Amino acid sequence: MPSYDDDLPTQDEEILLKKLVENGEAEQRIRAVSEIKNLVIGSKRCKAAFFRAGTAETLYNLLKEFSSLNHTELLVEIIDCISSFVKTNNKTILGCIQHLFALLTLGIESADLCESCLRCLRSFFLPKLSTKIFSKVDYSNPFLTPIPFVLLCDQDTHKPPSLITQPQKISSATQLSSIEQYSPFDIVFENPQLLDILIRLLSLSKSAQLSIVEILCCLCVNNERQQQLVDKNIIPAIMHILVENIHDKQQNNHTNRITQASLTDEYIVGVCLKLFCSLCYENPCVAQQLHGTIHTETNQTLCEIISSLLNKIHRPVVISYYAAKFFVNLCKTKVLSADHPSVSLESLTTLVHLSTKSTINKCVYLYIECLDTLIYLLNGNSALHHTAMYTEQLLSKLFIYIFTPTKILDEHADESSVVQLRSSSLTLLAVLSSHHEDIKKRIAEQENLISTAIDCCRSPHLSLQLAALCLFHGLSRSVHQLRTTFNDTICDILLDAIKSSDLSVVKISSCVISNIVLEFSTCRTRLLSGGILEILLNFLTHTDHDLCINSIWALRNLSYLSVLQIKQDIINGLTIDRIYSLLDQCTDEQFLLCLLSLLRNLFDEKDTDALLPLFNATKLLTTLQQLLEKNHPEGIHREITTLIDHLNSSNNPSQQRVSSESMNSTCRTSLFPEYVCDEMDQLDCS
Amino acid sequence: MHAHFAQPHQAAAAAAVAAAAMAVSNTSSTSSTSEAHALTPVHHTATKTEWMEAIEQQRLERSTLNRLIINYLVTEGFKEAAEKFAEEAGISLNNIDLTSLDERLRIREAIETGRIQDAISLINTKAPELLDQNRQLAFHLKQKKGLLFQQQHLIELIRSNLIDEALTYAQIHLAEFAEEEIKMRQELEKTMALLVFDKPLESPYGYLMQISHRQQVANEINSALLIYQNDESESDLSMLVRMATYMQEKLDNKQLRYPKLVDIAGGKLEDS
Repeated sequence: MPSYDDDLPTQDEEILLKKLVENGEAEQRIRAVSEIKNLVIGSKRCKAAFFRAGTAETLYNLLKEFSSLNHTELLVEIIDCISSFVKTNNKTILGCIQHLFALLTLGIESADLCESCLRCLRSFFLPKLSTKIFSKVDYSNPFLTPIPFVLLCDQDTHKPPSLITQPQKISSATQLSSIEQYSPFDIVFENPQLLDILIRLLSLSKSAQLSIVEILCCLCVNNERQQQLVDKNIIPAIMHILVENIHDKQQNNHTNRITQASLTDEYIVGVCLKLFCSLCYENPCVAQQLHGTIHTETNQTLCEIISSLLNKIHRPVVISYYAAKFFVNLCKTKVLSADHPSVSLESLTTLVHLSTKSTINKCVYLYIECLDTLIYLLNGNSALHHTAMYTEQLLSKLFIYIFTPTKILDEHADESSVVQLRSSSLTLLAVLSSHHEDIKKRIAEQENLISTAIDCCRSPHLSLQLAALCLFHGLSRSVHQLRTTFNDTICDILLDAIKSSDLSVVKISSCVISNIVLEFSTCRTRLLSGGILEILLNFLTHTDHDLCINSIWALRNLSYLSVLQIKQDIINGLTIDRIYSLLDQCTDEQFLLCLLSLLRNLFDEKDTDALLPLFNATKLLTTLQQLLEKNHPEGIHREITTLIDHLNSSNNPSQQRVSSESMNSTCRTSLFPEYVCDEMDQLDCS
Repeated sequence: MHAHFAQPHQAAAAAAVAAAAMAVSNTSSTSSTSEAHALTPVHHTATKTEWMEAIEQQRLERSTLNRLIINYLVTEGFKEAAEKFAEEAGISLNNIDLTSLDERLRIREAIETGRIQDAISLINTKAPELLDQNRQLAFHLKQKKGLLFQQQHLIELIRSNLIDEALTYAQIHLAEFAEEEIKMRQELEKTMALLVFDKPLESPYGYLMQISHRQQVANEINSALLIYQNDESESDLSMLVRMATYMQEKLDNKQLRYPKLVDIAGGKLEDS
């Protein structure tokens, strides 16, 4: 906690604050507000101290008092001051939002006042400057630095909880009195006219465009909000601004006039691209709509316009990044396939290039953003992995980020940036190693990588622990790696991790364990002697669904080609009664499928005679028959049928048992099943 | 490095460009009068005479030079000079925002004359979000304000309560920055160290109290204001000078001998 957190205003500051509430002439009021503004802006201590003294509310009251009068200069001072407060704390003054919109609705002539209102509104939506991640960031270039938009697609961990849930419907009667219960987002969406005001003001000035589009970016917090924005017809409006500013920038580049080079056009292009990314993130419907959008004046599609930005050589980094990210989002929503040129040839190569570009070392966040976007794209798109690995340009850079990040970063880079860069790099390696055997081999054989990953598992930083465990998960999806890479040290780490107090660590380690308990793994014995069976059995009733599935999955893998003793231990741990109870009552299809696979593994040929009597063969067959009559998906029916066949064969030795090769591959105990819990196609990299 | 402006026709930059071209095309020239380094193979590019001849052949348009000069004057905030030069050169400044230039000039003047509070007020009117967004700038301005406060009372240092006032100011207004970042903490430590010297101006950290340091802060603010209003923060001329220096470094790294530009301001070449 900062040392100034409990500070109150000094004596001199108190005198100044008193002047705010004194009835005086307008000039005196302006001076008082201006002096307070000059103290507050740039000082977190002053903001905290004055906030504690109720200054923000006082300013809000002044705003209300003077809004109806023609005091433009005073209003600008008040709003700029409030804007500064809001950058760290917007509690108790959320009502300001509606008031600012009311001012904008009045059709005020002063562009300065309008722009001041819009800047202030923007401040309400940005994550607060006190947030740890952004407190040390250099904001000298507000567009190149991580403007902390609360975006669904930025996977921010510091999202306010209210953004994630669906908005509650409230009656207008309760709206005003309970305004403080709601987030800025709720307030804006409750009154549809507020969005109309923002859209109308897009024509005011370029500065207004920047503020408004940034606000709209912040509003894309879930699929419903994205659709609401699209329903307001913002796509054509933003597309028009995008094309206009691309054109203006080109004109400026070719002109022979003496003019100061303006980056405004570039910033606006960049923020428009960011908005399109935000609108279509994880939203197939909006993504499809954007894909089909055509600019009426030029007859180009939006994709063509954005693709042309990726083809330019001397383009600003941020434009390249968001243009690439747009196609990534279209790919992840299945609007574009992974082998579409815009994805595989343009976006992927751009992101790899940006991730490895040496001249953006002052913008470490951009490296991290690029890596995270690559993780997002490549996770589940194994067809792109070899393209990403081409020439090892990316791979060599990832190793530098992991082993010697200080070679890339400024010597004063704070630790959190270093940690995040390493975590993202490790996670990207995890994704790359999740599918192709040759890539797994290349990565696993990199000198010092496994030992570094082991160190990261022991790091005090959770993100590093998770990233390292992800890497082990990716590598565990290989018979060869299970026999070579995984050693006792890793086993011990996993045995510790599975007992962690952090659920995310437990879950990812359970993913790894579910693979390394297989019969041909070198880790199996050590895990069993470390008590993994009991741990997995306990997790079967865990409240977290994914952990339950991982556990039954791991038990299934453990039972595959296992010796009789282990099978008996599993049965004893589960208990016969519980198995019957689960067969009868379980409605979770994933769990049921795993349980049936487990039973099939238990009753393989050599052990059926020993184990079947424990179950009472007749009762088991009856139970399975009843299960077959229920309305389960085909996969479950297939599994039941196979199991019944096995059991009937054991009862009637003359009946030929269905050979394992003829079974549908989904029935096989496999390293690569298709279930979400193991996420064989997609690693859990959240 | 990619230039986003016109070709570098200025003499200094032209020399460096010609150096690069000649070094690449004539690495085995025997016409150099310089002696080779005993251990390192050296490639001679051209004599000084050849060099100057090549430079003379470069086309130089006056309008390009004029644009460079106007760009420099406007970027650095020399409004009066820009207006006068434009008038002499017959150039229109219609596309330049002279109001904004004026504002930056006033801010620069306020900082350089020690009127830090005025500077803060002007900055917060022109760019209300700048000092919130750029903590380092805010720190430097407050640091400067604190230093000037000390400086004004240095002759009365024997009064202990003045040291207390300086300490109180630092505790109230500067400590929050030191908590956030090592760099700012180190700078604050240097500033506070001035208190222990009898003659702070002669101490190792005396530079903090020099006028040149105020100019440095003023330059920093000027660049930040340009970025804030979405303009280029550096003049094309300073970019050209840096480009020339960079190219010469690259040539030196390749052990190439060429008539090096040793005085960029004077355009003086010397055999290296």
